[in-house]
Amino acid sequence: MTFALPALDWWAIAPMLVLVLTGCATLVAELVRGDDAGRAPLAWLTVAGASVSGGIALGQWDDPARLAFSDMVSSDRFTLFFTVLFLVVTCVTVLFAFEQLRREDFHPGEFYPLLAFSTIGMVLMAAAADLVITFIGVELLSICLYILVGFSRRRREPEESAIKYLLLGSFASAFLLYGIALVYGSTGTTSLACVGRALGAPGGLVGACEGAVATGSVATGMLLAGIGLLVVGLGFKAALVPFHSWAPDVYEGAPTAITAFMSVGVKAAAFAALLRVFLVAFPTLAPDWSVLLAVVATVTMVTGNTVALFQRNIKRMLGYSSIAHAGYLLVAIVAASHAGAASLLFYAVGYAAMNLGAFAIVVVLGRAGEERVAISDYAGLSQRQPLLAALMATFMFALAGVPPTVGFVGKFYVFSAAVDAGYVWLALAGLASSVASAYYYLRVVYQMYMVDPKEVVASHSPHRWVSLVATVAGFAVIALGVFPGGIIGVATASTSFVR
Amino acid sequence: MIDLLWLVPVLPLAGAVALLAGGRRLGRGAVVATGTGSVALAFVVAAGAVTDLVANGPAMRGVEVHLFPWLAWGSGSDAVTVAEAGLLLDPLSALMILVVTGIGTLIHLYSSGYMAGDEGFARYYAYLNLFTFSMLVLVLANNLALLFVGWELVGFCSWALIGFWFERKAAAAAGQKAFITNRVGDLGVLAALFLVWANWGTFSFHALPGSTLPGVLDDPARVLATPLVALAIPLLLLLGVTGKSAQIPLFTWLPDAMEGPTPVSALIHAATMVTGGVYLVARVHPLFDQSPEAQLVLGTTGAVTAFVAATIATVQVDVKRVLAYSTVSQLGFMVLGLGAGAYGAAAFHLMTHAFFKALLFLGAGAVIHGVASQQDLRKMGGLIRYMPVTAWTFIVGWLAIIGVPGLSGFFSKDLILARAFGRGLVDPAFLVLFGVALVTVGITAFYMSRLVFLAFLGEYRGGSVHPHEAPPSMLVPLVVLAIGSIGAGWVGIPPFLLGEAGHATVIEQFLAPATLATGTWEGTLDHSTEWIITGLSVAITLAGAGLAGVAYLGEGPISPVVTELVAPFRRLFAGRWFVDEAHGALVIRPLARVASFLASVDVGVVDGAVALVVAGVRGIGALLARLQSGYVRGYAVTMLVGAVAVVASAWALR
Repeated sequence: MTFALPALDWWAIAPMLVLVLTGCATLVAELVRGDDAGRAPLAWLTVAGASVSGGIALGQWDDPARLAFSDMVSSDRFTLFFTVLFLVVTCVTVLFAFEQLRREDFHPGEFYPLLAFSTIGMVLMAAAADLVITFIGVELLSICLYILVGFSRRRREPEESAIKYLLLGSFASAFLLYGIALVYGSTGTTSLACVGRALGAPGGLVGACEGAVATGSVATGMLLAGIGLLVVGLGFKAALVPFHSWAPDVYEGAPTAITAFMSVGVKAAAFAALLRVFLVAFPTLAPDWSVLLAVVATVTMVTGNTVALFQRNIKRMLGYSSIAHAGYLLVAIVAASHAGAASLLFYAVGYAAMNLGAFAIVVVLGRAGEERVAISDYAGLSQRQPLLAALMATFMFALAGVPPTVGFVGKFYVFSAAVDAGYVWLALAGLASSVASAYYYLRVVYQMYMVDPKEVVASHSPHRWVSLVATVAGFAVIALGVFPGGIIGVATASTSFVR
Repeated sequence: MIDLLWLVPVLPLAGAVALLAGGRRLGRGAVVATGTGSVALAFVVAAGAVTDLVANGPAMRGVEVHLFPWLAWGSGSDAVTVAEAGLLLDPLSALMILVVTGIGTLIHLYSSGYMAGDEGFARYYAYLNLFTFSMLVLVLANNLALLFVGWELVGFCSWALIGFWFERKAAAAAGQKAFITNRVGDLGVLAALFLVWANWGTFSFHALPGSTLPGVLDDPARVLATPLVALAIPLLLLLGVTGKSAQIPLFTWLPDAMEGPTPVSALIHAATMVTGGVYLVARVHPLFDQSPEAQLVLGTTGAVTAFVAATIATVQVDVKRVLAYSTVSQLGFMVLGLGAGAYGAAAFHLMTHAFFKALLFLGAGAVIHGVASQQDLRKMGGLIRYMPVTAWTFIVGWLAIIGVPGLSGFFSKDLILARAFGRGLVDPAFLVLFGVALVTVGITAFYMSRLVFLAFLGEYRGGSVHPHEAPPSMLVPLVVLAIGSIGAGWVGIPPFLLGEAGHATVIEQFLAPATLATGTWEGTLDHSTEWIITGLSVAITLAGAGLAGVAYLGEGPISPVVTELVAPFRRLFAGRWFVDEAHGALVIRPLARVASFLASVDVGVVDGAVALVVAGVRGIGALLARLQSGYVRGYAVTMLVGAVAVVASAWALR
């Protein structure tokens, strides 16, 4: 008996394969090297693996878009776009963590592999052509994160927030899985493109849709319930209100490097999955779900921006800020258009630059055993570290959406896509809530520039790699605000499957 | 030189970058040379470009310079530009760039003396240059989106420069207040921006409906979609104007902004940035022309602000605060002119005001510099003997602002009065506004005369501090501005004073391609009416100044009856009409309450839901509840409730 191995398109998932090898290599390397001497090599091994993976992804840019592995993953520019973004975030996280691991005496042998595996989860979420793969991506990411969130051994809060995240995350996964089941029950398939075709969406990359039941673009109750549960499951990862309660606690308790990773990378992955699911599987039902998402977006923006006003801890403040930004990103999905999808990708890049930059400053200012995360710790920073203060001010103004930074341009793209889709009220609500946000972002700047330092702090030399990240991010925040054309062009090309 | 127009904003930007990069390594001479030189060069280029524009002839006076596509949709060759980085040089922006770079150069020069002893000298000049760049972006932008970039950047620079002396707590707080207040106004501009986009799919000033710019596509289809939008866009823009140009109800930040260095007050908070709102309306006037209701709101805002601010100025004892309220009041005059549809007259007053108010602020700075940082009028007096140049130039500024015939303020202020009256013939409500403005002219004469009498005449009351005259670097700008304060008005001498026929002044004719209102009143007063208006305003000016003379120069005490009579007014004015208190009671505290309610909901719902669930299932669930740990159950309940809500509304909202 001959056993026919199906022709597998390994090249399509090459970036992920490299990450798998990287994760395994760091595990083994730690065993071989044993003690703490392996710290720097492990970090560089991870960065090198991510770079190779990213290089492959860039090299695949001109490959034809296709489905691979029995139509389970899409290898297209959308996947590549997010792959590169995730890898940049991962590399930056390694640089952040490198500093923190040394300071806090974390065990690096588990940290780096977990980071690599969670990155694979994120790539899977963006690449998923099938709801099952979406679920696998979410789970792979989540399980790695549950450990990473509680990585600090010295303090108790991280453990508490890790447990919270684990319990609630399992809860959310159940919703997601049940949503997938209901969609399957309604349409007879879990393939995104086949669901789309069954619901009357035109063309696109579709594999063999065996068993799919063409229902036309009329939503049954079961299907709508399924869509609602998908919103819950993915909305949890994206920290949309009212599925956000975990976020501030977890962001505060997790090591700063992981907080940065989650607020930028995980959020982007959740939105990549949301975009794929809603604009490939359910575009024809947009009239049914867009109002729902518009309401969720409004509530998310308003809650994030108002509650952030009351925070005294900068990580919590950035946590609520990232909830508000999730609201802006959701506005792009509400638009349900090619322009909206492109604006989401643009905003994800811009937000990565702004937020990673801000977290870089938080990391630099931390010290062993004490993270120095009260906003009042930033008092007088401009006198001690003028360059860091100027960078932090740039990130705060950018997050507040002041032109000519990428924060303004990103909001402009997102809200004008919403306006084009007829959601003028949503754009106005977003604008109004973003005006309130200026107040809490500015409070950090106020502390840095207009309050005298409380104590004389010995000016320790900041970690040069993290400072480099902050500087590059600072340039990016301005450059993308003045010349957004390149990224929006790439983002448009990456979302051509949306009509 | 129009091809080189891009140099006008880029030169100050290059100066700012050089100063920021060089920082403390640069010597003071190099800092002044870089800072002042770059703006002076920009002025030269601007003057050359404007000369070319004038040579073009009226029909061709609108030139666009395309730099690079900024906001675009799509990729590669399919990319569609939404808003480009492009400049528009027309009579209106020509006037503005000359004012910004010209007066900017003088204030840069003045700063070299005023800020001589300050530690952050290079940083100060860097911000000042960055401000000049931002203001030039604001006035040269050829589309609304790019204008907004300049609009926000000037706000940022203003914040940085007010808070420049951050050792002073009040300065830091004032900077915060200015920025936050302006964000409220900016919300209006942003919302208008999106409504403009939603209605016409363009930000270009050329393509706005009813644009009178040369070369416009006169597309009759480009009329406003609905009456609601036709009203909403100008009103939202007006919100931005009340923020940037310090009108009621958002004007309270400007007097507080006086905590910044005095040259900053002169440049940003008198001559240029605060006129940004006035410029914006004049720039997009077609949107206002279509809505007489919005114009009436605009005019009323201006007239009432002019009056209220003038009354407050009468009781201020800080020399800079008198000038700050005076600025708010004069901006009110400009906004009244805008409301009357007299955009040219408003722009004219903007220009003359830039001269005399910069002069007055710099003069006040020279006084403060000369009496050891004393700003209290009650501790001055008789300064004309100690600082004659400062005093005489200040007196020129005083005569110009109160509108003594022949000086610049006379022509521009009377032009606004005449246009408001003319509008009143069509729309009687403007007759009331005209009356309010006329009364304000008298109050203006009163408080400005009071200021001059208290500071420069009488006996010196400053005790042991010996006043001294300012250094030449500060006096030269004063003299130049004094000359401007006299002569700048001569481009706007109304034809009836010259015995000529017609109504439009030279400056209005020059600005007409950019500012001519379409479909509204165009000025049909007969010459005898214009004579009466001018006569009235001069008489009221003299009365106001005379009253100040009686009150502050007269011998002997003022009758207690009078004191008794004015006491309640003094309280009202000194309390600034309690606008700050109204903000607190009507806006800030309610909003704070809503926000803290939301915040408590965010945490409290969790606790509340837990309590509810626990109470509900206490019987069977007591054991179960005890097994659960901490807040997690609460979060889970929130999620469950949320999930039910989402699924339910997925049904309900389809």
